[in-house]
Amino acid sequence: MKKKGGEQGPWQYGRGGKRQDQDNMASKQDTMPRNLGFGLRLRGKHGANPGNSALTRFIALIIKEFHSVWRDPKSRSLLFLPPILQLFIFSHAATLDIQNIEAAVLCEDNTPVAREFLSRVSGSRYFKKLVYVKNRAELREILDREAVRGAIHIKNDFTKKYLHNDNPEIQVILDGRHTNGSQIIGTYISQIAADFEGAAHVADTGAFAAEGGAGITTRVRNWYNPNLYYHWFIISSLAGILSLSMVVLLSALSLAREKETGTFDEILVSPLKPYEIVFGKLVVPLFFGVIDGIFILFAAKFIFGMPFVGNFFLYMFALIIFLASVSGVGLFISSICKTQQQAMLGVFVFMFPCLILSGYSAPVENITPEFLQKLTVINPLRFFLIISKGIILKNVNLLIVMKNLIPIIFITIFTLFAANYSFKNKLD
Amino acid sequence: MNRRVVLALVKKELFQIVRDPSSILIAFILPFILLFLFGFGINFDTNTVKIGAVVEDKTPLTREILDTMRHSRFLDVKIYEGFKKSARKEAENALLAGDIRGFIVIPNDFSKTFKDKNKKAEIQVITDGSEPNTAKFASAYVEGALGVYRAISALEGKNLSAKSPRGSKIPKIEVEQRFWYNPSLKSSYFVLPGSLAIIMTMIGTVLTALVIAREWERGTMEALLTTKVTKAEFLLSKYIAYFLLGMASITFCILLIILVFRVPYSGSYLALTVVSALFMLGALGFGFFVSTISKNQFIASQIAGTVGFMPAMMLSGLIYEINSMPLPLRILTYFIPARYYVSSITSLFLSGTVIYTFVLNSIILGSFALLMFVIVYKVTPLRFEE
Repeated sequence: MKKKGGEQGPWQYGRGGKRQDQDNMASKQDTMPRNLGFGLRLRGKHGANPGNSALTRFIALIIKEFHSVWRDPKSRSLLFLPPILQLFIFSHAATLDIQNIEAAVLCEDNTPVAREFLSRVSGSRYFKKLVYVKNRAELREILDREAVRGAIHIKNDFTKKYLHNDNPEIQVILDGRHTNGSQIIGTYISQIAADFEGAAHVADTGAFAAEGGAGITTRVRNWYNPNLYYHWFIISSLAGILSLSMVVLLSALSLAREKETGTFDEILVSPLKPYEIVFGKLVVPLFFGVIDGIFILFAAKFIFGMPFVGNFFLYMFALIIFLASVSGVGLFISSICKTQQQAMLGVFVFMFPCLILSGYSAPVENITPEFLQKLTVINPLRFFLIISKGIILKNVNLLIVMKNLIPIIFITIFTLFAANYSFKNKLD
Repeated sequence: MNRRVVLALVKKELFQIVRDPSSILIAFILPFILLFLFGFGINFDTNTVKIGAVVEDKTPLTREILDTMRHSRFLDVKIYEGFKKSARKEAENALLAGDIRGFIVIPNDFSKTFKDKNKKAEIQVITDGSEPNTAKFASAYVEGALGVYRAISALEGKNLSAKSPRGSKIPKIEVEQRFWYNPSLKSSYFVLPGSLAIIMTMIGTVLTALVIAREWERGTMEALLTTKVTKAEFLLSKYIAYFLLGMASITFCILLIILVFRVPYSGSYLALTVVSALFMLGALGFGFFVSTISKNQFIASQIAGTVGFMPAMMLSGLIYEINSMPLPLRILTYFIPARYYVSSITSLFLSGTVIYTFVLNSIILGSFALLMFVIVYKVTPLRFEE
C-alpha cells in the first residue's frame, strides 16, 4: 500500500494540485492568493516532482485544509460569530449574584417597627419590589407561579416581642426550586435583620461594639479581583473554553466530512504519511482556535476593561499546547467516526464531561463522588483554566504554570499518539 | 395528503434512525451521561472551603478563635507555621497556586488590641478573587465562624455584656428560613429536571439539524424531489419520526430522574407530557429550519449550537439567575422557549401542577411550535409542490 502510494502519489498529487490551482485562479472569490502563491513558489523550487518533499506535501495539505473551512462564506463567518456572540452573552448572563429580587410580604403586625424593618428590606440594593399579600393562601399562590422569589412573614406579636426583648421572629419563605439563589436571598435578609437590631442598639447604647469581645472585626481583601466581578472569572475561563470548542469541532468534523463526501480516498492514495495527515489536519483547527483565544484576550482587555497582569507569550505558549491536546482528541474522534453526525456525537460526549469536570461551573473540590473528582486529572481544561486565570488575573510564576502545563503536555502526547495510531490503522 | 405516503416516509425515517447507531446514542446514551454529570458534577450546594491561617499572635485567645474555625463544617483550615514573614509568604504562594481559596491573618497585636476597650481587634481575611463565588463563600464562612465564637463566649459570660437601657438582654431577631418545594435544598432536585430542556434541545435541534442537512449534502433530498411527495407529507413524516425519538428519549430520562436519582415528582403526568411535547415540537421545528437554510452539516451544527443549544443552557434560568442579568438579556430570555420549559418542569417536579404556570407556558410553547412550523413550511423549497 505504502509503496504503491509512493509511486503513484507524486503524479496524482501534481495533477490534483494543479487543477486546484487553476480553479483558484479562475475563481473570482479567491480570498487567499498569498497562501497559494507560497505553495506555488515551493513547487517551483522543488521541480516537477513535488510530492517527494515532505515539507511541500505538508504545506499543500494545510492549504487544502484551510480552504475547506475558509472558502464558503457561511462557514467562514461561523468561525468567528459564535465565539463573539457567546463571549458577550456569557459574560453578561453568567452571574451568580442575586439582584432585582421581588419578594412577597405578609405583614400581620402593622406597626412602625415592622414598617421600619420592611423599608430596610426594600431599601437594600438587592430588592427591587415588595408585593404585599393579605393571607397565606395568596402567598402560596404568588410563590407557586414564580411571580416572586421569596416571602417575608411577620407575625402579629413581632413588635410586642421586640419591645420586650423577647427574640422576635421573622419567617422567611424561599423558593426551593432555585436552591442557590434562595440561599443567598436568605442570607441577605438575615444580614438586614442583624443590621436592624445592631442599629437599634447603637441608637440605644451609644456605642455597641466598644465593650470588647464583640469588638472583633474582619477586614476582607479580595486579591486579584478586588470588586469580585464575576465576568472577570467567566471571561478568563472562556478564553480556554471557546477556543477549545472551536478546535474540537473543526478537527472532529474535518475527517468525517471527507469520509462522507468521499474525498478521504483521495488522501489515502496521496503520498502523505499518517503522521503527516495528523499534523496537517491539526494545524488549521489550531490556528483558528488560537485566533479565537487572542480575540477573547483582546476583548477582555479593551472591551471589558479587565487586567492582563501576566506574560502574554507565556499564555500563548500554554494555549497552543492546550489546544494541541484537544485537537488530538478531535482527530481521534474523527478517525473512528464514519459520518459527521457520529463525529458530532463524539464532540458532545467529550465536551460535556470536559466542561462540567473542569472547575468552571463548580469548583473541582465540590464534585461529590470522589472518583469523578479524581477523573479530572485527565482533563486538560481543568489545568488550563488554572493557567488562564493565573496568568490573566494573578501573574503566577513560571513554576505554577509549569506545574499545570506538564500534565497538559502528557495529555497532548497521549492524544496525538492515539490519533496517529488510529489513522495508521485506517491506512494499513 | 396521502396517509400511506406519510406512513411510508415515517417508516423510512425510523429505519434511518435505528440503523445509524449514533442517533440512538445521541437519544439515549448521551442524556444518560449528561444526567449523571449534572447529578454529581454541578454542585452549587455549600461545601467546605479550603482556607489558610497565619497566626502571628499565639495566645489562648487566638487559639480559641482558630479552634472555632476549625470546627466549622464549612471551613477546612490549614495552619501555616513558621516565623511571621515566612508563614505569610507561604500562604500567599498557596493562594497564588490555587491550593487554598483564601487565608486569614491574625496580626501580632491582636490580643493586646482585643483587651483595649477603645479599639477593635482586627482579623484580616484575604480571598482569591479570581473565583468570585468561592471568594464570597470564604469570607462569609469566616464571618460565620467568628459569629459562632462570639455566641459561645457570650454564653460563657466572657467580657460580653452589651447593656441596653431596656434590660441586660439583647433582643435578637430570629430569622427563620423555610425552603418551600425543596426543604432539604438539594440543587440536583432542580438541576436534573431542568437539564431536560438541554437534552431535548440537543435531540430536537442539534440532531435533526444534522440529519436534514446531511440529506441535502449527500443529495438524497434530490431522490425525494423526483417523487410525488408533497411538502406537507414530507414535513409531517419528519416531524413524526423525530418526535417519536425525542419523546422516547425524554421518557427514558424522566424515568431515570425519578427512579435512579430519586427526585420526587409531585405534578400531573398529563401536564408533563403536554409541556414536553409542545417544547419538543418547537425544538424540532427550529432544527428543521436551521438545516433547511444551511444545507450543510458544519454550518447547521454551528447555528443549532449557538442559537439553540447555548441559550437553552445559559439563558433559561437553569444555571444562572435571569433576574440578575442586565435588562437587554432579560428581555432576550422571553424569546427562549427553554425558559418556559425549565420553569414548567421544575414546578411540575417540585411544587405540583400550578394551573397558571402550566396554561401560560403551554400557550407560549405551543405558539412557538406553531410559528416554527409555519416558518419551516415557508422556507422548505417550493419544488416539493405537486
